[in-house]
Amino acid sequence: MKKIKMIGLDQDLYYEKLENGLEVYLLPYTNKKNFSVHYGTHFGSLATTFKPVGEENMVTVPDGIAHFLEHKMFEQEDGVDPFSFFTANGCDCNASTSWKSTQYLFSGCTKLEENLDCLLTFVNRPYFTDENVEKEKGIIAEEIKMYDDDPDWHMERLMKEATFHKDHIKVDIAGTVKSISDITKEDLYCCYNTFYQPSNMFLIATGNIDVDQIIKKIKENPDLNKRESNLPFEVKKEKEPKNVVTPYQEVTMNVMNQKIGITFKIPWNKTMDPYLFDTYGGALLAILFGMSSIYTEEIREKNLATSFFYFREHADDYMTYEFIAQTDHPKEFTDYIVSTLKKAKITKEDLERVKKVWISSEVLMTDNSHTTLDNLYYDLTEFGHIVPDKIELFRNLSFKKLEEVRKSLNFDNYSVVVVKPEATSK
Amino acid sequence: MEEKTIKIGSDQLHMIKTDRFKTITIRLVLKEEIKKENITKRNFLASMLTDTSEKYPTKRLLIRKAEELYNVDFQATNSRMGNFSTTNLTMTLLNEKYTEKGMLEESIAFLGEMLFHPNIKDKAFDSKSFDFILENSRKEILGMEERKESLAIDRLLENMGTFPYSYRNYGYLDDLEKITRTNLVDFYHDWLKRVQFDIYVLGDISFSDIEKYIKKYLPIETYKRVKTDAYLAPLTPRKKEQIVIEEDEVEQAKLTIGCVVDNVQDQMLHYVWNLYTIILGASPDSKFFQNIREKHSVAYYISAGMRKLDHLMIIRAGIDESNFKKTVSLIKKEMKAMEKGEFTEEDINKAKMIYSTALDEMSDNANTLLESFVTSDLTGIDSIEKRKDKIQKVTKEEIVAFAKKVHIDTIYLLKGGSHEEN
Repeated sequence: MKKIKMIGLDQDLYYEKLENGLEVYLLPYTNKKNFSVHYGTHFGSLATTFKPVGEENMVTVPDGIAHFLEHKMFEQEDGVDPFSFFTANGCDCNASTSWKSTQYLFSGCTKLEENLDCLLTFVNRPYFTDENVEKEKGIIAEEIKMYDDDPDWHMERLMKEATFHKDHIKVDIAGTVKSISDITKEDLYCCYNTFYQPSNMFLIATGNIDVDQIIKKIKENPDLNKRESNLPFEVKKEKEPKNVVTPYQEVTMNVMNQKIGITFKIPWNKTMDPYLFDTYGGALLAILFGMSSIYTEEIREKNLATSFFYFREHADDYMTYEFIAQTDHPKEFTDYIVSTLKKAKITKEDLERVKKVWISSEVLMTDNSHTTLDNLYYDLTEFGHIVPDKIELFRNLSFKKLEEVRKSLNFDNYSVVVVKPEATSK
Repeated sequence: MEEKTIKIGSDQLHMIKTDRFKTITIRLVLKEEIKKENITKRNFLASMLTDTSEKYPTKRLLIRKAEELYNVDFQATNSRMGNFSTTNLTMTLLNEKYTEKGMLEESIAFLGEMLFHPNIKDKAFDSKSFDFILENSRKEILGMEERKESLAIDRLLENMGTFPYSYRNYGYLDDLEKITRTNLVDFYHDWLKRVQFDIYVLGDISFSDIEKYIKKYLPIETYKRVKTDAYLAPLTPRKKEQIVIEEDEVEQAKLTIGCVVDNVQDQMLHYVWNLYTIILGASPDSKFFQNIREKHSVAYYISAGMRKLDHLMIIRAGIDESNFKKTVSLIKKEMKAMEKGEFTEEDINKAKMIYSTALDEMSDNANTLLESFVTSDLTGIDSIEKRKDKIQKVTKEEIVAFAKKVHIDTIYLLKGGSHEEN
């Protein structure tokens, strides 16, 4: 096992890559009763066209299949529901699918080994039948409808559709009621055999854990040991054009207040480490639009928006800076955001303040072993590696570099979605 | 873990010393008997107090100060707890070990600044801050209508009666329009005199330092407390259940059911009720989840929740509206099964384990651990360690007896109105 020091946090992370390719990350705590374990695959909703293991040609599977597969993993041949096992053994169990990954997790305070065994067993023992696949369609259709009732969810999807031509990030993770209706058990096995081989998967555990015991338990699991692994496959890469799809559009929705969503489409900087590039972008946004910025204050004082927030997202060749606001003045708000991004003055002191905030949040977060795990998971799935020296990295951010990064970004390439309340709903 | 409570006049300071966290958490719980007409004003006031202050007259300056204190986190939330209206001011800061000396005292001073030195000039709140909060509150209240799941619960409770549980915690537009910069100042001063203060501080602390700083920076005027029981009187359930169906633009119908729970006490209230709820509908292994969601596939989500101070249980489900009758009858069937004792010792043991695990989880998080002290003081439930023992003693007979005390009062459905039914 390799020991990796988490700098500035008084903690060590243990890492091992097993023979079958499975990557294991363990971060023990000494002052906690609880633990969390996440078992995941680098397979999310984006990968729908690929060359499966053992095949010559590309196949395309229906949208939403990764999420569908996540639901179906809980189906077991012996009819025993893994959920009940975890519940009976004192743990909470859950699963989720994102664009780039699917994860199965449990957390609790008792019977770590038994629960770990159950997790490894059910994820390595698929059981799909025509009948159980059919049954799931109704449940997932309801889930999709539930999201449809959420105007914020709806708006974020419109923003993606307005920004991306090809990148699958524009399609909802769960797919559509129609797309999932085409899913067959053969599709599921095809995805499973390709993306759920141990060499495409990882396991992360934090909290009240014994490192040696966990590794031993993983290596001994018969269902995991049976699996074939290290088989080649290929995911089709779409060429995404530079420009956005729809620069401006207005839609009406069942909302009470007018909203606007702005998405800046930004190509990854090929010469810079992606994590660092993303972090400088984050620093720029925090300086310009954080709560202690004079520009945020100006937005408020000029009544350009009653509330707004921003976030970043990572697509394949591009990343996005996204702004969502409640505003009666969408045009003025957009102009202000664009011109602030381009030319508003920033200072070295601003960056120092952001660093102080980020470093203290990092310490704060490690007080909670679940949050720490989410954080490790995020870095691993978004950037392909853990960042053990984050505090160091934040401390060393340079103002000169920040200005360089800012200069390299094109803030004229963006899409705007304005959501207006339906006339009758007022 | 070491605890100490001291009286400050008729108010209390509760200190909990533990080295389990890197943070210190401070919570001021300010409570008074709930009045519907004050809800909106109190929300408004809480937003004002954390928006600007005398010394930090813009939001930016206030946040900048917080950032200088190593990003001390603060928030004000309002809620109703049974008969009480409570405002919680919570502050979380890193222990000085991870920052620098003097940060604890400065952070408590900062908290005192927000609560006792608001941005008031010439007997009126600052107009910029006021106008901003006003506009924001308006949008927030309107925006609540968009959240169909919680709307379905609000409408259910409003249909059940006029007791405090039917009040909308986020306030009312009519009341909002009556608030002015000056009448809010009067309200603020009266409110400070009326409310009872309970101050909780949790972390690796020195009792004497905390006591010193709290007394120095939180100049609480002490008045006689009005004794109020947190528990509401239980409703008398309707003889025949009420069914209310309303339309809105929803894809998925939202079903909510309000159940009245008889006036149970002690063991029944604090322990049996929890196990009943977990077995019926508050775990992935529950009857609702396994039978209604998994076996019959009629609901995407379905769960049961307790509101002990109100003597209510609320069931919520997302369904296709064509399954309305079927879902309701399945829910009734499962509730009946509880009355008939159709669950096993194993189900009970699992529920006990879920309950105990939740307690362990609670003690691993500073905020929830602190919350458990607040709840104990308010509801009279035992400490976490005692709860673990007492839950083990609950028997099947008690759960069956409890099941007979739960009565459906109102069934509410929020369904799509934009398209025709088939």
